[in-house]
Amino acid sequence: MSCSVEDLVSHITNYSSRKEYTLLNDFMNQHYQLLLKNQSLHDLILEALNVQRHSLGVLHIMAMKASCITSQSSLETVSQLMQQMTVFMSQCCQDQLNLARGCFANIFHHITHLLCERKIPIRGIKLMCLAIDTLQNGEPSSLTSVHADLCQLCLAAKCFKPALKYIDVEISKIDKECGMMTAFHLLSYYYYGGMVYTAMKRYDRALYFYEQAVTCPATMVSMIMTEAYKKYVLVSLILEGKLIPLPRYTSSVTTRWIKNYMTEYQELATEYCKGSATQLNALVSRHNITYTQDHNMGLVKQVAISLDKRNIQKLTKTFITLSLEDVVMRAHLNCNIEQLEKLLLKMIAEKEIFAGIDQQSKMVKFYDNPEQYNSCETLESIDKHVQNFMDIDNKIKEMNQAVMVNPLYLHKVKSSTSPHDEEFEAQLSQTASTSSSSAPRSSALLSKLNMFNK
Amino acid sequence: MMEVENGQKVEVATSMPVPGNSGSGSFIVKLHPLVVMNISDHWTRLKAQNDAPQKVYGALIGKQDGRVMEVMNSFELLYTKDEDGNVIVDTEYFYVKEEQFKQVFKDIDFHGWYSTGGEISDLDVKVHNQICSIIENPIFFKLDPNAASNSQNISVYESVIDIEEGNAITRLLPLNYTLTTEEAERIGIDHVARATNTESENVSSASEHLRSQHSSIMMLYTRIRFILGYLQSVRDGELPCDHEMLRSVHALCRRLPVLGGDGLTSELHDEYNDITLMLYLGVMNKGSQTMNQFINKFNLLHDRHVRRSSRKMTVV
Repeated sequence: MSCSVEDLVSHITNYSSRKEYTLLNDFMNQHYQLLLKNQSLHDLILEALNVQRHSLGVLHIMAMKASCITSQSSLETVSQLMQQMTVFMSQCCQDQLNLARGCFANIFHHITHLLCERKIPIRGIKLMCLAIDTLQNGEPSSLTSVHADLCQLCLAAKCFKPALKYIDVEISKIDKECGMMTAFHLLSYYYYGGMVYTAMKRYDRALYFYEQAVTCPATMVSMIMTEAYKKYVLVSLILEGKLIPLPRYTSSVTTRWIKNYMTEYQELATEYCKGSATQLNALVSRHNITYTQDHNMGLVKQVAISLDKRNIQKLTKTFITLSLEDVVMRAHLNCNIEQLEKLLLKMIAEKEIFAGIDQQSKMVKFYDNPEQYNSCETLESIDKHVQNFMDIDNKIKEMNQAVMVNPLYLHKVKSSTSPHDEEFEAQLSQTASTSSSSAPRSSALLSKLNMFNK
Repeated sequence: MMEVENGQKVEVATSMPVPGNSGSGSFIVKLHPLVVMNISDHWTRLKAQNDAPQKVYGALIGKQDGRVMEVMNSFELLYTKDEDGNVIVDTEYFYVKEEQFKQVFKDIDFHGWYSTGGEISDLDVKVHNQICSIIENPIFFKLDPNAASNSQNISVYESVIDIEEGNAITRLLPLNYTLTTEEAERIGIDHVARATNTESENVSSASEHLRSQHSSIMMLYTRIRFILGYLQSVRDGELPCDHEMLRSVHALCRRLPVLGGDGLTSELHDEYNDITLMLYLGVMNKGSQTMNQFINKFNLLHDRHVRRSSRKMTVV
């Protein structure tokens, strides 16, 4: 098959005009290797094609072009590719795109890789956001493989806000991307997402993300899961003061592996729970090398600071007033009075404790939490939780309905309860009517009441 | 309107009494809703038993305090029909019942009788005369079961004996009545009324209550918007300025600051937050139930091992 420009273009236009996109897809995949070699033709072909009508063809050519760019290529080629992708996304036709989603996502993996190599990650962030929007196609809660790329770029560029918009949404659907979405992408998403949250000091969400990465069903432990587990331990110590045990659905290979290989982190957790800052610091210096190699030293230092804070917080439960020297002694801190005062002031400013320092008598007075929970903000936050929960409930109901009409399911139920056929039919109709009627009524009322709340 | 019947003239006043209006009558009647319910129950029962509506008769009991008569309860009376179709009340039965009631309720007396039907007829007057021989100065209570709920379907009459043209005539004069009740009675009657009205049991009473509140709040809201629209058009000069209207709107607005105050706001929020928290708990429960159902189905679909404790698979 000769691959002159005209032949190729005519093939693409023919297939597109006849709307035989699957055939075009197959054709392009077959001749992938062949076309790959003729780099110079790519630009010529692209010029001849119209983005809107021949989106699929354009996409494949772009993919080839992207894979041709190597570390040695100049920066201009990379930026040119990015420009072309932006134009493509603004004009492409979604139906054609749906046939080659994996190919599309691959281009962005490649671009991320190139940008990170050249140490200019910040350039790619906007492009990745656009790509995610295109792939999600109006469903903000679907996960694509480009999410992981976006988080990676944001972390490398230390610019976290753009990623927050995409990871704050709960995932309820995973985009298969024509079979090219793998566990790697899912794990990277959760790992990088967790790191973004850790950097933003939103430890609760970070913990959730790390946990998701570690508890992924697995038959072999992946490196991403190991790294995620290390950070999980550290964030758990900062947030809760103890190592929160992993849920029961963690796969057994992971739990066994953790028991055998994560000894330094386990020791850190046990030492933290004992409460002595000096011992903790001794342990940290002992395992210094491991922590530094894992690039976790910053987090470990934060863990040490949080131990001091936690000791002071424990004091608020026992004493009402205390002199500054006593605080140092009882909380086993190894700092002098001025440092302690500074630390206390910082904690008071961040609302971690409620206290007052009397300069004259050098006493600290601990107050109760003045929060009465009787303000509008509390109401709004509870209301938001209720709404979130109702959304989740609706989603589960939809899934419920989908399973109930699945013929395989009906077949299985019939075979398991065959002597009670009539009861079963009655139960089916009953559940269908009660589950669909009771909740919408209450939720409709609630939404009407909420209207007055605003 | 005069009916001439067997030489006796019966006069019925033409104007129907409206409760709350001042009208003629020597005393005021306070009516308990229990009586109304009893009478309607009696009538409905007989109608169901005999497949056709029937006129029912019964006695009213209550307390009398000077000019005020409180009618608290009622019971049914036995009667026989003779050849002319005249109704004769069984006095024996009446005395027995009176004895029994006196034993339980010492200070409650018989004060009248009731019947169903539309307008006053001579039959009613005849029965009334019979009752007059048992009780002095009875009142007559008439319930019209076929009337629409908004119009007058309850009438109370008292009898007055007039000397006219040398004959003794019994006249039935309409009386005013007011409804009165006590807490326990109100709750009970309300419950019964609700039980007869609700068709489905799946609707919770809380949501019905909320629904009625919601509709009343919506009504208030639309009316306030209406007034606001009027004020805006006056301000824009589209409508003429009516000072009296503006004064009444101003008076309405003056009422609002009564609802302000810091203490009130914090208390309101306290309660509001508590209720919203409970709502959250309820929502979580429902969500857990949905989740449970889904997990059962999912396990069944994918042949996952069912836990020992729930060995018996119930498809819910």
